[in-house]
Amino acid sequence: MNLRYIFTNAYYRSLKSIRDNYLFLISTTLTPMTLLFVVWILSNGKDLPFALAGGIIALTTSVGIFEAGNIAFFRFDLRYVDLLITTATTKMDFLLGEIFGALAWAFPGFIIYLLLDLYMHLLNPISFVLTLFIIGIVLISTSSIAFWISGLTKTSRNVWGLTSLLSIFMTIIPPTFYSYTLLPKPILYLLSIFPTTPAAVLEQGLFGIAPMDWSMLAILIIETIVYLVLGIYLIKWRDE
Amino acid sequence: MIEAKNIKKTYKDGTQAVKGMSFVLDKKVTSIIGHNGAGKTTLIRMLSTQLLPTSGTASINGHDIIKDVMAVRKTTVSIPQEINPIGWITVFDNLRLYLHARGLPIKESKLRAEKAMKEIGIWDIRNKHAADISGGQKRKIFVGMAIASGADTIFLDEPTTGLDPFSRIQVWSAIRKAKGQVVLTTHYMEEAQSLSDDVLMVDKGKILSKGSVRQLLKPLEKMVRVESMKKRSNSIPVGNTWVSYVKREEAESFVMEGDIIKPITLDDIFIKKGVNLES
Repeated sequence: MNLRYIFTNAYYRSLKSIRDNYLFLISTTLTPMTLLFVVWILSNGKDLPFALAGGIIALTTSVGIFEAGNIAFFRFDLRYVDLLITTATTKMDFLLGEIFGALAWAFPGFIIYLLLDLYMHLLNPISFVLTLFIIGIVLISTSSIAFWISGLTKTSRNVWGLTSLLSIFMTIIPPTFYSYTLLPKPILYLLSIFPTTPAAVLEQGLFGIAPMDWSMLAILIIETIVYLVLGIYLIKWRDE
Repeated sequence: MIEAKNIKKTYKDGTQAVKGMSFVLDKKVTSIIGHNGAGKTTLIRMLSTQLLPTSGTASINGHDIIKDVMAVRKTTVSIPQEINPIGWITVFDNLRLYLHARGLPIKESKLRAEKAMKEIGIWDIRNKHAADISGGQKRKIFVGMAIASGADTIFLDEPTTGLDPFSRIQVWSAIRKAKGQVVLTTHYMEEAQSLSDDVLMVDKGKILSKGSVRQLLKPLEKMVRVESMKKRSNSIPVGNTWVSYVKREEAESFVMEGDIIKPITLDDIFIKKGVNLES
């Protein structure tokens, strides 16, 4: 594993590029906040804890999924992936470099959410650690999906549309901003195809605002492994 | 050394880009020349493991491009034709990131990047964002990467396209000094002639000729090219012009008003072999 490349790439893709792309940072941070605001208004503040639990998942998912656009940009517009192929860099190095780069874009949002969670007395040391674990898992699974879909089209323009669509499907429809108990079980399990569903269920359980369903942890881990393997195998690396 | 055995590539849409090429390249600098769509880029992409051949194979310094992919990649650099640097980081950082990708340590990467930038004339712009520099300067970044890599085999797809004459000479000099074997594609016959120890001429996915510039030009030795607007006996049509090859000493008596006499170049080998240079 080429750790030097992974961390240098993450640094150049995140901290070094924020100056030129600060609007993306602001939009990434604020988009889940707007939904938080809507939920707060519509529920008279009652459902705010659900939106806080789901918002952090939605933020992680957006950043992970939008990696597809970045990868497509690197592949089709810069043609940089062609350059990387003939180096010691592997697909896994590239994926990890992207995941760590994505993490930095989500960082300000994480801080805001975690502060709000603390303010609302939703976090304790154990749920804090488990929340970080879930964020990590969701980032890996969504970035892996991003890797996969970046190889499905031949232009970066199509990928932008696809990621926007997928981001909506993965952050709005699953129980990220409402209680998962409102969903009939079959639909809940159907929606578990998106990693955001088991992650949101776990977050709601950790925050003590809905019953904990530990089976979702198994689902989340298994599907993350599946998406990671798919991401690594299905990303276009050597052309055929 | 690069050895190809009946390597072929047919794309999914049925286009036969490379129709079976076999060759051995063992000279320091080899140019692959041919017009647009001749199969140069496809060939280089296959040799550098970016593209899987449909059939046949090749080896780079004994490593098979299909079976020993990682061994080939670790010792090979390939700079694609239409590549762009990462615009939001500096020229220096672009080189360093690439060298990290090749697994070089931080200090070594810095030293090599500095040396390469000085060699190809981009030292003065090292702290500029890559988005803010000219197309030719961007091209030089990638040549710098190839030089700095210290790789055993370097593939350069049209490395000097868009460069001014001075920069082109700088790049040629750097290519000559590169540690490893260099294989480049080019449209510029002048470049192939002044830089190459060996030339591979390709057309429509096949090899037309291979050899040193001197060997290739041998059949037209002591001749000149005469370009006329009118058809002459044994002249070859090239666009609206008719090209004839005559002995140097007979040129004066052969030419008519309006004719142009030119020295022989590698272009003439294509013309003699009936390749439509405008296709």
